[in-house]
Amino acid sequence: MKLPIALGFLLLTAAPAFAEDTLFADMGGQAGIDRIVDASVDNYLADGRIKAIFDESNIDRLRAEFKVQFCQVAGGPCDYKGHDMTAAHKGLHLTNANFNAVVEDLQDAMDKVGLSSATQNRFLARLAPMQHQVVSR
Amino acid sequence: MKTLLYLLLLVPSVAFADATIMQKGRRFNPGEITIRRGESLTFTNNDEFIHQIYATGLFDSDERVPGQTLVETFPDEGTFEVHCHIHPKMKLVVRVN
Repeated sequence: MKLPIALGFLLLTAAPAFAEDTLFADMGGQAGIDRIVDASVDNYLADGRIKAIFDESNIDRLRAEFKVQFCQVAGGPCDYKGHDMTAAHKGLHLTNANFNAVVEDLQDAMDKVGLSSATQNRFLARLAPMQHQVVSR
Repeated sequence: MKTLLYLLLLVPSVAFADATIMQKGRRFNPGEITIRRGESLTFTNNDEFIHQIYATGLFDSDERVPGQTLVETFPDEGTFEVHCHIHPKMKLVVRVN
């Protein structure tokens, strides 16, 4: 009697590890992620709260880096080779307000491309741990 | 008279010596430099930001985190612009005589 219970418990706890990661597909694959990145970067550049952060940046390069990184974060077949978030944002002295503005603009971009709220939340949950690496004051 | 002659001979050698270019505040410092053909420039990243350098047709470096340096040689005469892919407003003019 004990074995079936133990097996059942193992199966239940193991289930998430074997669950298929569908986020990349649910975001529309690379094409969908490209649309999200392009819309979000457009938002950043138009957002008076944060656009100055990008004044000195190569925007084409930034879009390309985001597309690879978002693909990887979503579980897609990409290998982000850029610097870690702490090194990449060093010197920008970003605040929580900056980070929140970026997230709002990203959410707006995901709305624009028609991503469901549930999928948006799954993706944002994977980005959330980056906050402490990005915010430095 | 002799002293003046020596000075005239010495000054150009100082001005054309291999030099260091500092990357700080998302700028090259100095922003212009003259060197001799075959001489090198040392680029030091004294900034808070990651940088790289490239000169079209000459070199295109890896990215360098703060504190790192790299050396590039200019084998040909001419005027060259050095930029950073990450920060496109950064510009260094190198005149090679």
